[in-house]
Amino acid sequence: MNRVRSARLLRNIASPIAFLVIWQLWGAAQPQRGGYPVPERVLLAAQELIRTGDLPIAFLVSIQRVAAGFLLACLIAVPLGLLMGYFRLVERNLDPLVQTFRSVAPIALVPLAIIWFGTGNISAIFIVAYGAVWPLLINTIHGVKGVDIKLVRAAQTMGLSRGQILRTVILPGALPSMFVGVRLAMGVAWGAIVAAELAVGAKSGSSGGLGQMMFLFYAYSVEMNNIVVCMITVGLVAFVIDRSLRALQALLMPWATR
Amino acid sequence: MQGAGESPIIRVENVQKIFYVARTRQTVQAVESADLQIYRGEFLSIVGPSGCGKSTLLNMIAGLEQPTAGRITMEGKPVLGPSADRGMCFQEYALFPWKTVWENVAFGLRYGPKGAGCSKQALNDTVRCFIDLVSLTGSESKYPHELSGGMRQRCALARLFAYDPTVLLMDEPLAAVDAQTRIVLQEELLRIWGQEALPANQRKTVVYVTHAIEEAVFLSDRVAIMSSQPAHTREVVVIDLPRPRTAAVRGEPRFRALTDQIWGLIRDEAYRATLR
Repeated sequence: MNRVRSARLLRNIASPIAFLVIWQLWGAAQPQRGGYPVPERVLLAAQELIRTGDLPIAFLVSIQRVAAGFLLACLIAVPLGLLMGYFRLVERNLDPLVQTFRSVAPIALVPLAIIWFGTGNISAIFIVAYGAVWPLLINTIHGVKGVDIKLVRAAQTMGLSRGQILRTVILPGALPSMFVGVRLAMGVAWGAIVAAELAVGAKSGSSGGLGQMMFLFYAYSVEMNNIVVCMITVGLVAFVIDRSLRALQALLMPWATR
Repeated sequence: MQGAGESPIIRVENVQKIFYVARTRQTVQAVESADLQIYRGEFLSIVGPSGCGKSTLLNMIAGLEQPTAGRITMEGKPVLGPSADRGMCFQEYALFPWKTVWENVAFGLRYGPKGAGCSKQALNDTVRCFIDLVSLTGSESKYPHELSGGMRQRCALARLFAYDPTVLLMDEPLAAVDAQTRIVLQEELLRIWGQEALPANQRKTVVYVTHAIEEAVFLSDRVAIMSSQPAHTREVVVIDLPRPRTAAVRGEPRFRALTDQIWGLIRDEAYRATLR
């Protein structure tokens, strides 16, 4: 049993280890070694950034903005998605707008956000919410439409009203698809915050978040290793969030987990 | 069973149903004309070849579809939409996949009007009673995907009986299980319906749609026959086999005679529909 588990672990971490090795070799082969980040120097930089508290603080600022923007997106997308999925008239009216706006990348909203909300928290949250709202909305609609019509009919023959059916059949029936939306939206939100913070988020007390930190390392101190530390932090956090969401889904929806 | 002069609980009068199919931009006549009287406490089957509109007729009795012309009444009142008085059992069970066996059986009582004013204790007792009746005790916390086809069907039956509809509408409920399971479940259905436990006047009214003639003869008090092209109701055959019936009834000459009689009525059309 234990051997099976360690064999599986080995298989799962083989490609990350191979990546690190190739990266280290590639860096060592470069003529001007200073300009190229390699794993060992990045690790040292990470230690330093954690020791000074810069990285944890920036991380906390960014994740709070993501959480706020994501929550805002949920509050808009879930009710709207339920309505658009359930009532054809609503969907027909709003679908052209949704399809038009969802292709506009969150980063394109940065100039507007700065003009409307300045360069603080609100701008960052706005951009995150804008990015996260579309995958949530589209997957909620998709989920509602995918609910088996027979289940709705079964509830009708039990005498349930439309409102009760929405709550007891449509909502749980759409939940697995909505969760796909949540995972996609989390990815978009986390990507959008870094992009947003490159431009906004400086005026929030001690830190402007991970994106702002990257921008400072780029524009002022030219610390390539520090930038890579930020990149890795973003990636790792996204990975952990996604795995947690998957675990949460297995816990909440045992019927929808194969 | 119908006594002399007793008025039917459900009347289907000159009912017609035309669908508009958006994809082909054509109308389809699903039911040309249907007339049927269903009496309190009887087990009535509707048989006919595929495409004869029997499921559409059942959906109209349920109130899930509205007739294009004609009318359907229950206890004298027109059927305008679905109601918990007319419970339905679906071909693919239609169990809620996010609910356990227990929660599925409790669903109609918990969220529907039939459970209004029902105490938690009474609800639990009812649910336990029907789970026990369909022999699913011990599987209460399983989800539908963890059940076999036969278990799902029994769960769907328990869900239907638990909220106590006056009329039970069943749309080929055994079509999706294998042949052996079907024979067992036919007997189970009669037992749950109360063929032994209840006197004839206390049993539920059942309208049962199937394409299997033997199944209809085995289960029913009367068998209504539908034809396609045009889709309409034809003869109603009274099944005078005594109850309670067991699997042994299939070997009796009267059983064979009745199935042959019904097969004779729809044979030509079945060949035409199949070999067209």
